[in-house]
Amino acid sequence: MVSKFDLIIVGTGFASIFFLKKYLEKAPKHSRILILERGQFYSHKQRLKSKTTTADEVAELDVLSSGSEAILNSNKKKPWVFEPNFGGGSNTWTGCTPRFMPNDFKINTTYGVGIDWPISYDDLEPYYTETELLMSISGPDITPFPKSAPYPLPAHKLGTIDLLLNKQYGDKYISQPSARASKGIGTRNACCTSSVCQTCPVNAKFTIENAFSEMMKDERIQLEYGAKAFSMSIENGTARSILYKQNNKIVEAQGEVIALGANPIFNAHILLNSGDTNPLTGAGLSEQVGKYVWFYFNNLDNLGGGSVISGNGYMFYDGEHRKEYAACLIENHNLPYIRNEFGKWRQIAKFKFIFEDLPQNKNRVITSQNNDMPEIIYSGHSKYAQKGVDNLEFNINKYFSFLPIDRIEIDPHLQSTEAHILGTTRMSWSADNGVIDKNMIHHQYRNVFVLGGGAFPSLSPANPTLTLSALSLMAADKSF
Amino acid sequence: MALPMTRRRFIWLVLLFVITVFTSLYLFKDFNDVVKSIIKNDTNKLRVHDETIAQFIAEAAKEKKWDQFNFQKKAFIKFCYYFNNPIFPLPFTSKYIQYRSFIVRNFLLSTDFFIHKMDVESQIRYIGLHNPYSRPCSNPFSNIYYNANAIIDGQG
Repeated sequence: MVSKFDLIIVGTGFASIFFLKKYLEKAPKHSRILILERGQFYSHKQRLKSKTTTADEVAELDVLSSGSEAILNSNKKKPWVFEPNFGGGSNTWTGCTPRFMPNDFKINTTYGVGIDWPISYDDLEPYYTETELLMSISGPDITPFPKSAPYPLPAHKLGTIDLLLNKQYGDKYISQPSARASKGIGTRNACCTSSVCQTCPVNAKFTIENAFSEMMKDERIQLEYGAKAFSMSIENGTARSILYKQNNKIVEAQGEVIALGANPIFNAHILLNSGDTNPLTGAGLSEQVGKYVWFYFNNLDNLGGGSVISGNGYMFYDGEHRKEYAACLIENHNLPYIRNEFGKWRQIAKFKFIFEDLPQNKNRVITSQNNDMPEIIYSGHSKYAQKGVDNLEFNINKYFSFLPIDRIEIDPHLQSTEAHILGTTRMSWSADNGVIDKNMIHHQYRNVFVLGGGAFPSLSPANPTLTLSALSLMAADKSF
Repeated sequence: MALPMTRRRFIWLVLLFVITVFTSLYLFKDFNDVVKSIIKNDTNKLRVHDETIAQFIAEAAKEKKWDQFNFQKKAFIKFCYYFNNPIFPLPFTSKYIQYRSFIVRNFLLSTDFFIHKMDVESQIRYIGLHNPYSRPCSNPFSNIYYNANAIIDGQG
C-alpha cells in the first residue's frame, strides 16, 4: 500500500529543515509529513568521539577531499563535498554566515554580467533576519549590507590585523558574521577559537541537531533514515509520488506537495530521473573559487582574534570592477599558524580570497546508467572568475600595502573546492531561463519545491548557507 | 641504437649514480630524525631541553601525527631539508617552509612557550601533544589570551 502525505521532504540539511520549520508553523495539526534522509543520524557526541586523533591540518594545506562515493565524478581535480547524513552540511560547516550584497541579486542590471535573480535583496531581507535569529548569529553592528535588525549575538573580537583593516576600510572590513556563538545560548557553548570547526569541540556552532531536535519530535513528522530518493512519478505535470530505495527495496510514497531539499547534485538528479526535459535542469553546476595568501609582517603580531575566521573584507567585493571581473570576499583565517623565524613567530596572517563564479551551462549534472548515481560533467570555472583571480595581486597591493608587510606569498594553486554546491536548478522568471520560480516552485511541476543553493542564478562570493536557508523560509512562508 | 660510451658520458653516468645513491640515503632516513633536526635547528635560540623534543617526537610517533604527510610529502620535506639553501633555493621552497612551520608549530603548541606569551627567557616545558579535541580553546593567539585593542593602542 502506498502511504499518503501532505508534504514529502527529501533531505535534512539547511534547505529542508528551514522549509520544514516555516511549514510546521502554518500547517494544520492533522498534517502528515514524510522526511527522507539518505544517511543516518550521527550525534555531535558520536562525532566528537571519532576525533580521538589529531586534527587533519595538513590536508588543509593541499586538497580538501570529498570522500563521496555517491556520485560519478570523472574530474578528480574537482571534488564536490557534502555530508550525506541527518543535518547535512550543518554537521561539518564552519558556520560562516555573511549575507549577500544587494547587487548580487541584480548583477546583470547593475554590471551587465550574469543573470539577475527574480527576487531582490529587500524581498529576502525579513527572512535573512529570521534565519539569523534562528541560528543565533554573532555579528557586528555595522555591516556593508543593509539590515533591519541587529545580530542576535555580539560580534567576535577582531584581531590586531583585523583592527588595522577595519580602521582603514570601515564597514568594508568587519568581524565575520557567523553561526559560531560568541556567547553560550541554548544547548550551545561560546566559541573559544579551538579552530577545528568541522566538529566543534565545544558545540558552539549552529547545527540542525542542536537547534531543531525538539522540532523534529513533532507528531506530524515521520522521518525515514537510509531512504535514498531517486525519482518522482509525474502525471499531467503534477508530481504524484516519490520513489526511494530503503533496505534494498523500492518504496513509493504519495505527496500533495514534494520539496526536494537534497544537495543541488541530487535535486537535479531526481528531477532528471523523473523526466524533467528542461535543458537547464542540472546545468550551471558551480561554486566559488578560493585562493590562500600568506602575509609576513614587520614588527606586527597577529593576536587577539576571536573565532576561526575573524574578519571579512569587502574592499573589492562590490563595485564597477564587476563589469570586468569577479567580486571577491576576504577571510582572515585565525588558526594558530606561526612564522618559523625566531622572534617573529606570530608576525604572519593567512587570508583567503574567495571569488564569485558565473554558472555555465556546460558544467552540469546528468543521469547515469545507475539511477542512484548522478554523473558530474565539470570543465572548470568561468573566465570572469579567473579574471578576478588574475587581478588578485594588483588588489592586494592596492588594499593591503598600508600594512607593514615584509613579504607576501600567494598560493600558486586555487583551492580545489569551497565545499559549496550551487546552481543546478536556477531560479528565474520563466522556464526559458531557469528551472524554478521566485518561490522555489518548479516551473512545470507546480507542486514541487526545489530548495537549496541550486536555486542561485548568480553565486556571489559570499558563503551560501544563510541565503539558501532564508530562501527556504521565504518559499514556505509565501506558499502556505 | 646504443650510444657510444665516451669518457665524458661515463663521468656523467658515474656522477648521476653517486647523486642518486647519496640522495636515496637521505630519503630513506627516518622521518622522525628529520623532524628532530628541524625542531632543534629552528628553536636553537629558545631554552629547550633535548628531552622536551624527545617527548614530543615520541608522542607524535605514537599518535601517528606525521601520517598526515604521505610518502611523497615526507620525501619532499627530507629532500628540501638536506638540499635546500638560500643561494640556490629549490622549487616550491614556500611550500617546504609551510610544512616546516607546521612541524615546529606543532612542537611549540605542545609546549608552554605560547602560553607564556613567547617569553624567550623561560625554560620551555612539554604539556602534551597539541590536539584541539583533548585541549579545546587552546589557540594561544586568540582573544582569550590577548586583547588586540590594547596591543594596537600600545603600538600606536
